[in-house]
Amino acid sequence: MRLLNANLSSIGNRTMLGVTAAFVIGIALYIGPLASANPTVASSPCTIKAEMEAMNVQLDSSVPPGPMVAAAYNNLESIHPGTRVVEEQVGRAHSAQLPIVQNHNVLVARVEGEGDMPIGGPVGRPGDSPQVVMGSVSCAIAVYDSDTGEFLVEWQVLTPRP
Amino acid sequence: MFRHRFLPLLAAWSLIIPLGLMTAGRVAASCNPGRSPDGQYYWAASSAFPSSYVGGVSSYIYNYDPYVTGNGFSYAWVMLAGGPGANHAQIGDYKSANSRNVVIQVQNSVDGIRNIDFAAQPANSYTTYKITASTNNTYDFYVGNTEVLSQVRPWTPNNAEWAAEIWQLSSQMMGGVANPEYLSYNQVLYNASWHNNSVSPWLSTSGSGNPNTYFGLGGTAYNFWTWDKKCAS
Repeated sequence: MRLLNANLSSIGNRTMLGVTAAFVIGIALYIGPLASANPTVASSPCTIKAEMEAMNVQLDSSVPPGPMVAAAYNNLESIHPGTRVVEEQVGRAHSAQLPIVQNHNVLVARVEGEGDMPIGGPVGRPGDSPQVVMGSVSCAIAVYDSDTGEFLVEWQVLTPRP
Repeated sequence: MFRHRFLPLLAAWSLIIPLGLMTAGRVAASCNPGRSPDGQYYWAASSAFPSSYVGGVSSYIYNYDPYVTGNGFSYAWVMLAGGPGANHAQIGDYKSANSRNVVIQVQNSVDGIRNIDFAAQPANSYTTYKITASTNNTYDFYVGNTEVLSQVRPWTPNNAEWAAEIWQLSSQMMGGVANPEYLSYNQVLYNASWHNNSVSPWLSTSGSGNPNTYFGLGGTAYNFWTWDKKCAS
């Protein structure tokens, strides 16, 4: 039940490119189709705006993109064809409930790809049946510091497979 | 290395307390156990139902870097759970084939099932992972002394769990024969105070195999450890 941060060893002038691109590749390995019907989710459709609300993050979009963000935007898809950033946003983040993003200028990216993901549930006792076995990622959001390229947090909404 | 950019953050997150169980020479090493993926879960775990309302769970967990391949994972965590359905709040040290992270997983009527990932704690260190649930259903998640997430969700836990878990038998259970994975100082919060866990741990699987064939388990409810029998360290 994870993704992200594959091949994050390269730094230097292209740090943000490498970081963000690696993130996209990682997510692309796991992301499934957008959820059309999730029996357990009452939240909004997958958009950055909806996910920011769900995670109680306020994003002040009046902040201009940082230099790392601009480089990433210009090069992401050309460096890694086949992956897709379907939505992106920059701004200054505020959140008392997700304190790691507080006061950072951030790049938020929502990406799509294909794949499945195992979902852990409450531990089984001998003889129990697992409650959930496999699912797909219906929404994935990554947040980076847009000035430094630092990975801050990333989350995925998972859809159980019937 | 990219990870170096995380050092200030990791330093803030870490609560590195000397632990008698940890010896100075211990070094975790990823080890391919040489098993095929089988589509099953395996756990070394304890699960307690001490009260109709459980307000917190905590463990001092060894951050190990196990071998994981394919779509498997290896995860050491604490969790609060309760009805209706499979509501849960979970946090711990996580490894997939591509990355290590601190991973929170929540399941409830607002989030559905959601994973929230942060930078990993350093391998071969110890970290206290803790979740508290207040009576107004505020869930607070801690990595060491640092609160990383706070959310209000409409459910009430009655169950605390501590576990090392793998998905796919091809994944290494955290820990080796000479370098076990520790879940220590396991505590549960109920009746307004923290109590030592008193439910002895066990090995289990979602499949039909015998987990004792592959994994070891020692210790008590309060301090237990596990290891992958195919791995020396």
